[in-house]
Amino acid sequence: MTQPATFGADLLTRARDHGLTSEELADLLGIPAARIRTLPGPEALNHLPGALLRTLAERLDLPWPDWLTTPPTWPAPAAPHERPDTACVHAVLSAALGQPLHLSEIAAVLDWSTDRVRAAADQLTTRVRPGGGTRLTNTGDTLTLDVAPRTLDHAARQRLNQLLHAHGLGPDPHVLHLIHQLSDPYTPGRYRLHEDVDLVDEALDYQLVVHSTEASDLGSFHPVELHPDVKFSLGITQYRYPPEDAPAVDTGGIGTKADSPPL
Amino acid sequence: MPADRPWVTVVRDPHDTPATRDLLARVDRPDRGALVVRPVPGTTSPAMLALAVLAALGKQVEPQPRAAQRQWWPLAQAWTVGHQIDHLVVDRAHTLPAHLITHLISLAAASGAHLWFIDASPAHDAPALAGLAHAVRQRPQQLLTITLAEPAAAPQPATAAPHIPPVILPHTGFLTFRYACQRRLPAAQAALVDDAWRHTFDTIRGWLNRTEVFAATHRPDPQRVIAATRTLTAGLSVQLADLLYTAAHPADALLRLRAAQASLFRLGLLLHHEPRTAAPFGGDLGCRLTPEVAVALNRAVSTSAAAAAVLQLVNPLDGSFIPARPQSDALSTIEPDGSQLHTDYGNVPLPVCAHAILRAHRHFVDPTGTAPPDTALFTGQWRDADNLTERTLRRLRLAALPTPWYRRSRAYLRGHATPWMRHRGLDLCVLAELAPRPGHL
Repeated sequence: MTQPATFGADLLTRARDHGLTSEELADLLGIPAARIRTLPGPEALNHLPGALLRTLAERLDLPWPDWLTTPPTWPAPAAPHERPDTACVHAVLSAALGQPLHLSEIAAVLDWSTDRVRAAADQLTTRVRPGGGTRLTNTGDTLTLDVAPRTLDHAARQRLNQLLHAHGLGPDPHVLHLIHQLSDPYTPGRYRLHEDVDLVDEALDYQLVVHSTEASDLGSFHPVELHPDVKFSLGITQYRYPPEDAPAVDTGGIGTKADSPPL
Repeated sequence: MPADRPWVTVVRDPHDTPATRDLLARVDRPDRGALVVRPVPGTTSPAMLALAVLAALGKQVEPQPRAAQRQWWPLAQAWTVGHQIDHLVVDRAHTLPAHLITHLISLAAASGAHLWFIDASPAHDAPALAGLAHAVRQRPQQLLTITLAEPAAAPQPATAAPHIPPVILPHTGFLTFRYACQRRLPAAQAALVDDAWRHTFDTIRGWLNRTEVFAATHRPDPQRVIAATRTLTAGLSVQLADLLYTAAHPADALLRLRAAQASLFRLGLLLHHEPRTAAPFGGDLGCRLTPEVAVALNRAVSTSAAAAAVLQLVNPLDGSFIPARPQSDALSTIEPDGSQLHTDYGNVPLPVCAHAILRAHRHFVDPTGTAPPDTALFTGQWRDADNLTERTLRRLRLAALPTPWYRRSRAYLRGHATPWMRHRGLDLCVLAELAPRPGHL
């Protein structure tokens, strides 16, 4: 048996199986009987209204989705005082996504007692779905709602952090001191760089410095040196690339290599 | 023609034709040096004539100015001089008495304008105009010979820094800005941007090398630099105003700021930039006196009030210096043509829209041009100036610092900044101050 090629052909087969004649089917569809033979065509049923299709489905015992039969009725949003306590606490934590909030701070925001917030927080902790995209951390009396770590990969999180820094805080100011020390080989105190491991790490994270491969002029091994892009941007070098190695134009997004936040 | 005898032309229009009205409407361009004054019927006093002149200049004369009536004519004269009127056309001049004709001649002489009287008396020359022996009689069509002045060009910085095209610059800090421009912009634009970057970099480097603390050595004692930070901040404000006021557009301003940051950084100074608003990068760096703001200020009749507001907006050294240090605001701080502000740290080129207001106020304070340079710019009108400044700037949302649009980094709060810098989210600190202390992390 040959499979019908289109929905129209399938419809014709089903109509015949239900004992409908061509005239009856044409009458049901509201089209001239002469057009019944065009039904197997790929676009023959495209312009039929939904109500007609519903009638046809009922007549041919075809399944019909409920959501097409009964318009969904969405509940109106509850007034703030009618919402469950957990929803209110969740809303506060969502608005401060990623920021730890103490119970007393949430209580001050909602104008509630701390006990009421604590009860709601306890309920909320049990309701947040472990597999969801967010994570609720409850440490003592402090709650933090943030994006679950697995939602974004490491590179995306790093770019997001750079973006957030770019909008606000920027790197630690001490990192800038480190960069300045590296920019001037005669800066006093440069030999202490190796002591500031965390600063060096942050500078590496921002790709402002790179691991050094050469011994310093002071005779000791220095772990990092300025990134070539930073050297160029500070006017230490006049050419980032030799002319023959000039890069193609990159219109890439925020957080691409060696972009630092506004300072 | 002597300075006190301006060119006077009497235009005979005995039929008072609509065509003459059309001609007057065409030449009425105060911004291009041609002003048509239309005295109200029954004008017999200098004060009423002054109101007509002020109204023609776009001043708000309804309700009547709060200044004393005896001040109205000097104000009208000051504004006429300030707007650099080349052609002063007086409509229906045949209705004016002789002493007001004399006033108008003196006004034209003070502003160096060609004076045109429209005489529409039907039968013969108006008596007040008939006595003008040196006046030329012409027909209305002669008004077509009035040449409108070209609009003034934008000021150029003292350093003549090149402008860049309005490209979209990368949103990166100065530590990687130059490289990011090279990487992201098309080659032709990148070359222009780099040229402008280097020019500003060298300009700031040159200025720093001329300062007292860096003149002797490039690596002065950090404590000496820290002690001089306030002085450096004041000087830097002036230097940045020079660069940013003359920027062609926000991208131009941002490029100059980034180059200045890099140049300062090389000598151990951190010019930290945290924009206070979510405006496009560089959008809040330029002069706060925009042409739109100047239009609002130009509606004021009082030159003191308008000039006080202008100076508060453009002065890079102190946003509230007028009430705080009135004795330091001498006549000599403003260039006679209103194009520059002279400070102890250098000159600041002012936007074109400020020139007329400052010229007018200078003329109001010193109409004869013989006052000593230390003559105070503002005397006895503090309340007026202060009120207008506050009212106008508040209406334009320019009075207060904009609220930062994100939480500011506490670590940078130690920087020095003039109010002018603070408005732009800038502050200056010595990098030696940022040296990590034991156990800082």
